[in-house]
Amino acid sequence: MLSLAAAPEDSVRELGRKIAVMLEARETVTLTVRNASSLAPADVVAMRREIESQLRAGGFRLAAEGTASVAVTLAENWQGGVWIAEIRHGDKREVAMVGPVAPTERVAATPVGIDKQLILAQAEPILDALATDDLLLVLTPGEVAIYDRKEARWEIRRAVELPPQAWPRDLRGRLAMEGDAWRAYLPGLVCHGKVQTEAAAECGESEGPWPGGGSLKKGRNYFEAEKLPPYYSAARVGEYTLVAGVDGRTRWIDAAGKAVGSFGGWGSDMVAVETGCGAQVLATRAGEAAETDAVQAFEAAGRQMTAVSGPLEFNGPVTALWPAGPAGAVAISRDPNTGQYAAFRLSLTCSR
Amino acid sequence: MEVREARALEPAAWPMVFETLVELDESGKVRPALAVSWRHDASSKRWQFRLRPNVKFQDGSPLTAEAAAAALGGNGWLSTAAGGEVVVLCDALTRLADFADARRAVFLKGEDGTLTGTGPFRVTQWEARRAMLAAHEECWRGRPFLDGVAMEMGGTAPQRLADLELAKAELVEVGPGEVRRAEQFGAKIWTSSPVILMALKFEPGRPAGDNARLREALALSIDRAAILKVLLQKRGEAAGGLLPQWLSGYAGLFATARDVERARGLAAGAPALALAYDASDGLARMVAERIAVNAREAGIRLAAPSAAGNADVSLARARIAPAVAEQALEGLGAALRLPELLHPASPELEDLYADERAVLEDYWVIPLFHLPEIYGASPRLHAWATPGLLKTGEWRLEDLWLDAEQP
Amino acid sequence: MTFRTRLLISFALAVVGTAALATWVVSAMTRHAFEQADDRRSAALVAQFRREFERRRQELVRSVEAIAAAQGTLEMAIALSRPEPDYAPYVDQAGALATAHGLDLLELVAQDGTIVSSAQWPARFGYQAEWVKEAADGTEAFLKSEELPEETVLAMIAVRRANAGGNDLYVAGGYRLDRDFLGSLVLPAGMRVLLYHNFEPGFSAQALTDAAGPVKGAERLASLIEKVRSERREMSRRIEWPDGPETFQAIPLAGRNGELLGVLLVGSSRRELAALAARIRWAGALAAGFGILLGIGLSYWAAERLTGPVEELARGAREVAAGNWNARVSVASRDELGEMARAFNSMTQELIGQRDRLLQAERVAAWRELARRLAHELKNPLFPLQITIETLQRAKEQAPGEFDEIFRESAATLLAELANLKSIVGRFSDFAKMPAPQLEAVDLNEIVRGAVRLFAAQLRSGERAAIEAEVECDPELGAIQADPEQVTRALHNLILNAIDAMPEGGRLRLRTRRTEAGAQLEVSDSGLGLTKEECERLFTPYYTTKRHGTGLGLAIVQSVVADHRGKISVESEPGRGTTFRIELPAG
Repeated sequence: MLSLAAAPEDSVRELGRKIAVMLEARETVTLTVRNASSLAPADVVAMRREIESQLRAGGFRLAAEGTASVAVTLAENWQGGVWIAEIRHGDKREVAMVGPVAPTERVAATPVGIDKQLILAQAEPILDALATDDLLLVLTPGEVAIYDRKEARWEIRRAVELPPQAWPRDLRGRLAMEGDAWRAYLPGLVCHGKVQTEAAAECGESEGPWPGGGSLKKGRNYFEAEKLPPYYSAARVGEYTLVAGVDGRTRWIDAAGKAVGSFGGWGSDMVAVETGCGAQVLATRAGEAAETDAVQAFEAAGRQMTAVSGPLEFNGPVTALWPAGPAGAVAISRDPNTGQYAAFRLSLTCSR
Repeated sequence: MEVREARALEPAAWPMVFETLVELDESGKVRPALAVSWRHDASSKRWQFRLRPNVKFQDGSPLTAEAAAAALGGNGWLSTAAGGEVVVLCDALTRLADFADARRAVFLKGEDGTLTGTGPFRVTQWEARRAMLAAHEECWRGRPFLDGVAMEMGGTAPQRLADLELAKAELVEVGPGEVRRAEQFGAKIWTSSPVILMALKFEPGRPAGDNARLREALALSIDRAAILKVLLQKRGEAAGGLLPQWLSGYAGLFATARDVERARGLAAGAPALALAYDASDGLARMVAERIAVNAREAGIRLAAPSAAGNADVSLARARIAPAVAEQALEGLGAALRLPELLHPASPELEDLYADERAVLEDYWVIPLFHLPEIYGASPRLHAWATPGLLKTGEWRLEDLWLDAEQP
Repeated sequence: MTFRTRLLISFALAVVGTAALATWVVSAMTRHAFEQADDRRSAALVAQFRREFERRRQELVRSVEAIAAAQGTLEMAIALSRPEPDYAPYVDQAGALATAHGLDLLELVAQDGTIVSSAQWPARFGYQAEWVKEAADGTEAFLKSEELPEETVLAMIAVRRANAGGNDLYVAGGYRLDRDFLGSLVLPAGMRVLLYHNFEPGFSAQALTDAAGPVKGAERLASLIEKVRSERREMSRRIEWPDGPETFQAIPLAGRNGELLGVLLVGSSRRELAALAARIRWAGALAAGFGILLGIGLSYWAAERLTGPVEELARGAREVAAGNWNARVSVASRDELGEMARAFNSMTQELIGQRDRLLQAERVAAWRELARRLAHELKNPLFPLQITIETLQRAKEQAPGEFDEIFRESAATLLAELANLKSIVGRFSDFAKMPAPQLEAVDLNEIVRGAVRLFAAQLRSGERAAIEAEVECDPELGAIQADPEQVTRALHNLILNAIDAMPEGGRLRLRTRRTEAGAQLEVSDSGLGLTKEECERLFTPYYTTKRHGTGLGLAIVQSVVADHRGKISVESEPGRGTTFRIELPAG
């Protein structure tokens, strides 16, 4: 359940109004408030104060014993908060309800901020996007597209075809650039070419490692590396390596290759970054795949990863997350409503 | 891929075959599906939808406003195509969420009566207990990873689990008692939110059940906590009301506590009751037996009915769908034959609560548990972007894929 | 009943009694011997049954121990020893274990008495079973009444602990003592086992079952079961069924705390023994019957042999009594009976001889008496005759002048005395030629009343004190066949005698009475009375105590009575009067 922010005042006032209607004029009222939701205790206290002031404003007195008892339960359903008030007069019992109260996003004041900037969106699946100031390479299952920056937009210069293969839907690919030469890594295949030339790409079968270590064999969608179990993505944290395992759990692997801990809650993509305030790991949210995905920054405290940023929401699942520069990453997500793939540049800023 | 279900095939399969103009997301909010934008008049009776482009039916024909209008008419609604958009005239104030109702799906009706939809799977074979679905190559959401799905209904929970274990099926519905075993051989467990209501329903017109004190006594004698903990393996919630907490938010207002003393007083001298349950459902049998033991403590005798149709009270399961509170309540009213719940007056939670209270007041229905749909998935089965089983208990099989067979 | 019949019956009884006694003794001894043999056989069978029962108990204990020691159970015990244990995964364990070990009942109970899993009532998880903890200290299998969803059954239960560090897990397993259990016991032919569940306060026929189901005719065992229930000890009893008897050994089944949970009835059929006993009885009856017939035949023949001569003798005696003194008895045998016949014959000869002699003597005596009486009677009138004639003679010789007067006086005296003589002779003549009676219907009462009228004057005669006459005539007196003249004369004579017996006056009573045979007439006086001797001699002609009279009166009476075939008797005491009683037949 999403956590609720300090609930909108409107809903509390509405509850207070409904309660007042059911009370006799100037009654003495016993108020109890119970939290059955994921509201933080501070929020509960705030809501209680709001209700109390509402009642007092309505001319009712609050005491430990009164002619009426009002029991407020702060509950929630999947659409939001449900505030319930049970008003008892002797044996008579009436119920007032307000809800569902849509949650507002909590934006925690976190030390690290993630910025999301759209690079490109297209219908074709984007495997990776590598952008420099004036050049953009976009890897799709069938080609490498080269774009030039034209004012605020990217304009395609040309597309280099890659040999057609029967790629699966969950294809992974990575771009690397060195000077003018670019290389595209695909499962079991490596292609290279030059930006400026018009030549076709040269591709060859390869089981070699991708940038960042680990090799993706043909037909697979997970990496294999020495001393590491099969993983979707990995990030070095200190002397350990965090790997997102194929079973959905994230593991700490030590230098000897032994798993020394595991936790859940993370998705299958992560990138290690370094900001001005330390080393963080950007990771997607766990779940088989949520309709909406989010990327959050975590820092290691011992072997506990704590969030140091709020979740950066995406409209759809994040299908790829690759490092781009030391303090950045490229996130590719697919909007399930439109079916479009969008590549974003993520940059971290430190507010500590 | 083989799927084994315990319940009927339609609710699971239909949403994969037929789509609606809008659909609900994971938090109950409406989002576009076949329609990308809409507007309505002040009375919310006239709605106009712009359809998503490039959507094809499973037979390859394009989705047009005319086709959509033809499907949406009926049941008090008039729909036409106008200027490439679908106009729907409803007989009463209609909310956007009503267009997400599966009964308002868009389909093509063939001359022989067959229906063709727009969803990621099309029906190639449909029998009472078995259905075959094949991928819709040109589905606007993308072609499903799976080429086809065979769904089979029936059998007992242990049989289905055995099918999973022997790799005869990749996705099976399991009961709470099978979860441990499934996990032992590496199956993944997919659970939804509690979308099934298990309740005791008294049959009207039976003299033994016509005693309000006895019904209340039975309700007070049941120890839900023990059944939940042991028989249901803590998968589910004790239910005092009809709608689960995640859907209504006020389920906590209904009492589920046990009061054997009071039950004993109310039940004194009452006749025995005949309790019926689905004999093919092992879990129902164990729950019914346990309820009989609880009731015995309060002096109520529950026995098996002497002949089919002689039951005073039966242990029933009802699906809580769709995931809109008042529609779900209406659905429960139909499933449990409670006419008071049909046509709820307003969708406001307060009013729904009052409706539920009125129905449950004299204990003709005793809600017991809200249970999730639990499925065991083969280790070879993976979900890509969308989970195979939504929180609401619906299927999204289009994003599932299977590992290649081991050589 | 004749002698022959009595003899016949005695013989027959003797034979029958002997035969019956012999049969009964043989039958009883044989039966006793068989019963002893059968008892020994039954005891052996009951012992065998007990061993079988014990074997099942041992089997149960071993099964439960095996379960308690099994790896799975120990693992469960370890898992449940952890703090906050979760019982949920083990809810089904008991059912599988029970099936695997062939037990009907199995419960796995945690240290605190909570039922973790129950095979017989799966829905009872979480409830308490305190009895398991208490029973776990014992080592034997015991009996218990176990509650099940649909019924309460009697069960044999054994409890063991499974301890794997930490807490105990109790394993309570058992068999149901029901029809299948009874059916599974190996029993020899003719033997069966019944089980009575003691769940209700009173006797319930439904609670008695055998291997096939409820027992028919259970009510016959009710009293035995009641007795076992109240006295709580073993006892045996023989029960009669329509098709034969059966001996039951009733064994009380007690639970762990001594409460009576049921009664086991081990029955051994006595049908064969009963059939044998019946056969013996039949044989005996047959023999006895044959013996009786033989006996009757024999006794008939023996009786005939015995009673023949006896009847001869009886016939002879009857003839003699009837008057035929010439009867002879012919018996040929030489034994005592023959002796008796010869004696009889000689006796009758003697009797005839004696009678004749007596008759002679009596006749002579009667003649002598008559002669004496005649002489006496005649003498009296003759003496005055002689005197008169002598007087006449003297007068002629001595006083011729007074001779005419004296001749006239003497002639009168002579004529009177001659008349007297004539009457005497007339009376004797009457007596001699009394005719046979002319019988006709006579009313005796009338004759009596007539006689009283006739003698009325004489009774009141002034010469002496008056004699009072009492007449009692029986009104029921019917007519008798008699000669009225002779009867009247006899009555007159008796009355005259009575008058003569009362010179000082007195009372004369005449009474008639109807008798069975005919009529009875009594003439009583209150006169001088007679001695015994005089009574005996009374009816002899000329016996008289009177001063005058011929003494013929009573003889005439006797003659009349005899001619009428009647009887006359006399009763008298000196000074008290005399009563003459005449009995006359009716016809």
